[in-house]
Amino acid sequence: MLYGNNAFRILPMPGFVKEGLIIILFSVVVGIAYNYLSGNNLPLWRSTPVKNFFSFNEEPKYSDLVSRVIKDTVFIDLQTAKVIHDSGWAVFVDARPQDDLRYGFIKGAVSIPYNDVENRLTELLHVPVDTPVVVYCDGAECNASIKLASVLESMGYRYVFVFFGGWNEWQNSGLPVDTLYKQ
Amino acid sequence: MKSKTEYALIVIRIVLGVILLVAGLSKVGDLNGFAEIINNYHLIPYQLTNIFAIVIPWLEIAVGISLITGFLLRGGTFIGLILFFVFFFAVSWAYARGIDTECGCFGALLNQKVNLIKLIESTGYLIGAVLIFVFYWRRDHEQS
Repeated sequence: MLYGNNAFRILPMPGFVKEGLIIILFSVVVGIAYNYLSGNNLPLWRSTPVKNFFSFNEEPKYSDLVSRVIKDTVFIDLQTAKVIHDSGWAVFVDARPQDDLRYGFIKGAVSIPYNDVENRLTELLHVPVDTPVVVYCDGAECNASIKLASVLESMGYRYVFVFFGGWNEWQNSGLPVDTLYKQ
Repeated sequence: MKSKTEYALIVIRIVLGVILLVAGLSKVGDLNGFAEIINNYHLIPYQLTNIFAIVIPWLEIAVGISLITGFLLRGGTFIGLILFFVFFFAVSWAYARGIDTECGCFGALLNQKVNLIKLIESTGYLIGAVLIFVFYWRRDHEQS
């Protein structure tokens, strides 16, 4: 059995494992060094699920919602979506296909299905562009909300937030909903 | 002297090495973008995505150089096999779940989505990685 090259004869490990560990160690050391030396400065332990993320604990004032928003789309979590919803400052926009809304949507939300966006943007005619807008769709893996947010931003809406937990998270938490067909 | 099989394996080895080296080099330019793409796969807790984004490009570069030059080749084929298996698994998983994301295979800059072509590509790479690992592992054992 070949146990590594001569320099490492003391360790009783198969050669490929030993060499593999050397390669991994090299990559970790160089990777971390490069992260800082190149200016990337990614925190080793990531604290937010997505970039451009912020959250509120209490109902924000209008000035809170518009003061910190920067050029890229901002993501918010369930807690923040709830307090923004309670505050009444924002218009909620549902990016899901029209049919999905039959089973419920966030209370007061406007439906702009991303798959039909050109025809449906008129729903926002009465909404001024400095109104905060919260866009959502199904949940974390749905990209329609992010794409719709980009469209809204290009239309001039300056304070657009994406609630990435989406309908799934909102409904599972028992927060206020509407349905299209009242019993 | 060298059999046809050995020449074929050397070619596969170097091709995979070049692919990995290019892949790694293309990622180090945009670690943030790569971290976001890793996040899109939802395969690891988001807290760990940055560590992976920091290490994986250099792992690819190191294994790529190993496969091309033959330096620490046993480790290279071993880690290479693990890498290609992980990539194959990630692409299959994202494809099966219908996640719409950039592959991230050659960094955040090149626009390659996760689709059937990517899946077939990943399978091909994995097969190549298995072949070279088995070949060099067997040769290692026969020599002792």
